[in-house]
Amino acid sequence: MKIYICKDFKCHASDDGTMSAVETDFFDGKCAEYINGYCYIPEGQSWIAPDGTVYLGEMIFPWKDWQDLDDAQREYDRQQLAAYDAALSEIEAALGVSV
Amino acid sequence: MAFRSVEESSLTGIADAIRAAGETEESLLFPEGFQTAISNLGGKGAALTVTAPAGTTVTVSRDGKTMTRVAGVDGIVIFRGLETGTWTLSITDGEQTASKTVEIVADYATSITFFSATINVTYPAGSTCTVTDGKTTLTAPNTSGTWACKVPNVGTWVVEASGEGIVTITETVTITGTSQIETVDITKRWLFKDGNQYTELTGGWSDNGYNYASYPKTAPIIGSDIRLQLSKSGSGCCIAGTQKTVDLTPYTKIWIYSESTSLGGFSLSVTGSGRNTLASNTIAAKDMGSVTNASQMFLDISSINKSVYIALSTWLNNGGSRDITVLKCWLE
Repeated sequence: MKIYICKDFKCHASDDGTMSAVETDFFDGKCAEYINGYCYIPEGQSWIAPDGTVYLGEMIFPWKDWQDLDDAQREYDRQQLAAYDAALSEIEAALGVSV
Repeated sequence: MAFRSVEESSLTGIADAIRAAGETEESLLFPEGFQTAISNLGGKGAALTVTAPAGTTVTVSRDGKTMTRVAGVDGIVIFRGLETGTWTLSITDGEQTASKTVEIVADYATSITFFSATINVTYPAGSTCTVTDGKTTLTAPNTSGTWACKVPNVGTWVVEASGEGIVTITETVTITGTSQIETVDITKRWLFKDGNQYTELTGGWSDNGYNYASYPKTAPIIGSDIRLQLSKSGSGCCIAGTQKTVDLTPYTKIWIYSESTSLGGFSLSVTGSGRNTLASNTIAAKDMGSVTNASQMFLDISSINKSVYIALSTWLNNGGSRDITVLKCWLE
């Protein structure tokens, strides 16, 4: 999927007009809150952190506490599942199918 | 009998020499005092011959009685009139000291020298560092993070750093002789080094429980290094991962060191219980990709504060070959 990275290589689910678009399957199925908590340094690129550490791509890692991101993703998955269940129930009702 | 005229100062000097050699402070009352002192010159008690580094101050002591000599150019010092029993022998050059006990039964000879082996320690700044062989414990003089620790004897020495917010890390160093110098870095929490899989922490390294998508696996070769070797006409993977989860909370980076010249299709990743090293199934990943020189590389884990599996994996999508060795892996 397409995500967007800013100059500090932080990931964004949507572009504010200043970011670079990158394709990666790392975030397939992930919610916006999960995506926004990550950094992605593409292959061939590098980032120098404020302390001077050089980050070489390709590297992808959370910059927000990963447990919070995982909690958000699990809630997203629950909501997705609930939506699918609701949609399936509507279809079943329309078809007169009882399960 | 011939008599010679002797000046009083010469007599005093002679008396002083006799008193020193006879180990007495008493006035030399003629004739008894002289007789006693001179008989002591004949060696009441045992003689201890000590060979020590030239120029050192040599001391023997027992029950509050102390005798001191300075070793000459030949390093030999003789103490006479030692009563039987255990004496403490020590030497110093003003900077170093050494000591040992000797059991005097009869005339006895021994040697003593300075022992100085050094363990150069790098430890987390702000923590307390100790080195111990179980009998002697040495503590770093400060919390600067570096310490040239001089140990006093051979043996197995355990280096440890501890403190608030510091993960207690230990390393063992074997000292076999004086002048030996060893270097220990306990800022790193090793996961693999020199064939040591640090099983207590990692549970060992293998591909058990791991997969890369649904690609067929080739087992890694793990000996003095971790070798991921693949040669396939289609898709395949080779994975080596920890068999236990490792708590990353205290650490900010996972490092690996490899001397392989081509690291395409090779990654370091951390995963949850699913242990699928396909990137989209990992928590974080570092693809080595374009690295072509011997190098150490890291993955940032500073925001991963839980226990995870750590894996090294390589894969092929449409045939080819991979041959990657990892020599070291550690947490920082």
